[in-house]
Amino acid sequence: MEAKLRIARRASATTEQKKSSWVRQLWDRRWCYLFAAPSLILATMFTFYPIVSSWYFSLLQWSGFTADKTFVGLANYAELIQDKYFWDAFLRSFQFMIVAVPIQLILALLIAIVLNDQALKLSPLFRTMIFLPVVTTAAIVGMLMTLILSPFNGPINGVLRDLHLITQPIDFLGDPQTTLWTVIAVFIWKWLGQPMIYWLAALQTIPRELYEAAKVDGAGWWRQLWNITLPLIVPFAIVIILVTAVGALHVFPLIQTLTGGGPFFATEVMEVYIYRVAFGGETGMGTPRLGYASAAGVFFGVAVMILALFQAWGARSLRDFRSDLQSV
Amino acid sequence: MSDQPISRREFLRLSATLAAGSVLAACAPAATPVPTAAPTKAAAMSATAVPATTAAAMACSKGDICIKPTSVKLPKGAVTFRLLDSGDVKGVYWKKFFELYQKSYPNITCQYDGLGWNEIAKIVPLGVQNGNAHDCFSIPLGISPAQAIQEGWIRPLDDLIPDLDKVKAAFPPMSFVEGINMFGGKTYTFPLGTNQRSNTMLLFNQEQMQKAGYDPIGKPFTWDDFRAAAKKITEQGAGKYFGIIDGGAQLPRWGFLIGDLMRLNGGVSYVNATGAEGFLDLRKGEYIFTNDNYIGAIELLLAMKADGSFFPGFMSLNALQARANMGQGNAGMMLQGLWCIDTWRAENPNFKYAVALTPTQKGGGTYSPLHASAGGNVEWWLYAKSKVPEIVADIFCLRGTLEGQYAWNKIAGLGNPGIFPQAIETASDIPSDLKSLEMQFKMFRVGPTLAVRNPDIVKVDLERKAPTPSVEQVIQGLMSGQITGVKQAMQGVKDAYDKELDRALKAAKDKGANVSRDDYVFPNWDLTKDYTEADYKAIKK
Repeated sequence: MEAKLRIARRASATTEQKKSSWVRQLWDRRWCYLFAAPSLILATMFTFYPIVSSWYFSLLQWSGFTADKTFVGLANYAELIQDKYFWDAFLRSFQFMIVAVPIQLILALLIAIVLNDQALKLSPLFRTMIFLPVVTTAAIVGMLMTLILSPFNGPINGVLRDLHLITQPIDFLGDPQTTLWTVIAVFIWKWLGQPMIYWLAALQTIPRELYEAAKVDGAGWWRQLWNITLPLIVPFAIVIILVTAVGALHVFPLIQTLTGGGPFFATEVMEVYIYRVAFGGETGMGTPRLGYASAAGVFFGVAVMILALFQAWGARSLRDFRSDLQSV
Repeated sequence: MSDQPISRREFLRLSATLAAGSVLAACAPAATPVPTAAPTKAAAMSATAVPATTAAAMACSKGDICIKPTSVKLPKGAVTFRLLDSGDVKGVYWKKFFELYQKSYPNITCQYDGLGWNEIAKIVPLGVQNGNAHDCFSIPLGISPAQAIQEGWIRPLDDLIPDLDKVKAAFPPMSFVEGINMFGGKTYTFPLGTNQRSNTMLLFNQEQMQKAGYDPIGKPFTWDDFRAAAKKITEQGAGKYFGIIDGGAQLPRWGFLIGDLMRLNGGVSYVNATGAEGFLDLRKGEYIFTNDNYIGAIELLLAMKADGSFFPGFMSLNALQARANMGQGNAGMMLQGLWCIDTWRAENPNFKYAVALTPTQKGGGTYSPLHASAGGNVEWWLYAKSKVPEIVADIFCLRGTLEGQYAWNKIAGLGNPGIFPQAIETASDIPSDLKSLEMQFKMFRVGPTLAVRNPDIVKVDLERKAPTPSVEQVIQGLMSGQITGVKQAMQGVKDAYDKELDRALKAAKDKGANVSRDDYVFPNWDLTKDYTEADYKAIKK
């Protein structure tokens, strides 16, 4: 009996200790929490709350404009699975990402490697020039690009014609054969500066001594790239790929201003699809469907999350592999 | 006193003067003296001929914005009034109007917001939800007034304007219509503009057209003339300019273009209960997509595209960009509304434009009229929880006079004319522009309006969803070459629209609406005449 009491007392003491240590930890780190609080509050208001709301909305038949909401369970999802235009947009989004991301990453890496060369005196200027489109509003880039790509007096067609590469102007944004590829190209150009900066940051973590030692050993530019640069920036690559891939799925302002998703859905990616369904499209006929659009958004969000988890798993596997290598 | 005979122009001015007097009297407070004698001829001949009912009115010339007391009792304390609409030329008018309004009533601060429809779609519902919507706003596209009433967004004007019936009496016949601007016998807004506006007048570059050897004003185009002229202009432009331009990326344009080309040949379609464009032949209640005229109109544009007559890149332009290119002399013709002219006059003063009748199959000025719904153009509604509803009523009252209409037309009348036909003279100081307006009005008749016959029909519109792909999207697909086979494609569109209408009818019926497909059939409709109250009565069950 006494033994039992002792155990109970010890358990209670442990709980008390735990509680006090939890409170103490909270108190000790109070400044961290205080500083984190504004961003946590903002994230709750503008990120977590809308996410949770969209889960709820996806279960409703609701225009989004009125108080008339009907709970329909998973009916929106059932309809979504039958919706050809949803699947087209869904696949197009990933097609966009699969084409854009590798090209953008490789180009950005090559530029970063060149600009990382301290012998290049004008590298800050080039870096700024390449980064400039990143800080320019996507909608403005879209508007300008419609002029630059115009088949009527557009400078790109002019150059191609002067080089005798074409005889007839190309309708980059109006021809369904070229429009998606054109939008991808504009996206790559606009956002090229961002992975370039990431790559530059990664490259600058590589100790100079390694290159100097390699040079002493007679390694050329390619050998240094292959044996020093690339292996040492691989851990960064996982994060850069993830950020760039997610960025390639958020292309609404660019596509909306360049093509509006057309012609005839040729560039309708998921965000444009969601926008069209949520607000009833341009014709204004019928009721906008925020509930259905939310279901599409949730479905797409889950798909992107799976992608992110897959990449996180890749990053962890790589880290484990590296630590295994180091222990050997 | 002069003994010269009264000319036609003077007679019109005199009529306008009398109308202005009666309208002003209607909106004037009871204490305001109303003219009892007809104005003298000398007064009618005066250039600033609106007769005054008050001393303040004497200071206003025709076309001036004139703020004067109405029968509406305005708030005495300091208040703020806010108005939201889709801007553009409307914004130009409101800014001037509010400047003067604030001067007349220093206790009232006016705030105007002109935003795109996308923003209106977000701001209005949010404002209503939070209880701080604009006092007067445009209802977002896709939301019907009936729905806005059901949701408690808007309220009627009846208890705010003591002499409402008198004010309404000054409007043209069929301006106030149940299901459009009246609901349950209450008046919710004033139809301050006309909806008899063509989206597809033939606007052309005079120099290029002349050089091509065509005169679409003297000899209105057939479809063949139109195609040949576009080809000729393209050839003579040799890459510097092209025959025809439009905003192919702006989906509704395709509905307007093909719809109007078809309608003018007697292929009827309607304007639906909520005022949006519709595609039913209301004589039979059938969709018109497989009609020979409709198919023919699509084939005409496809043939013109195959000719190379379209401006390069037109598929990725919106209507504004197309208008800008036209003004810069990059294209010879465009089928759009007269609102383009204001922009050209401001931005391309050297551009010599002209306006002709939309091409028809027979040409020579022979056409079947276009149709608009009864009830005019309703753009502004009174927020149900507005703390200053009297100001909205007052402004509607001022705008709903001949004087108010002159002032509106002076700023916005070319593209967005007021509803009083007699006030149109201030819309432009260029005679050819006024002729274009006259030509446009001649093209229109009042068509049958579904909601007038059966107000329950708005419940069907609430249930309807645009099929995907919509007819506009399919036409865009045909023009871009992503879809082939016009007849087959349009049969698919017809089937989809029929299916959706039947579904919406069933859904509305399930919710208690008394509607059927028969409500979409008006067998006694004579296309050449206005559809009047007598016609509605004649088909009443």
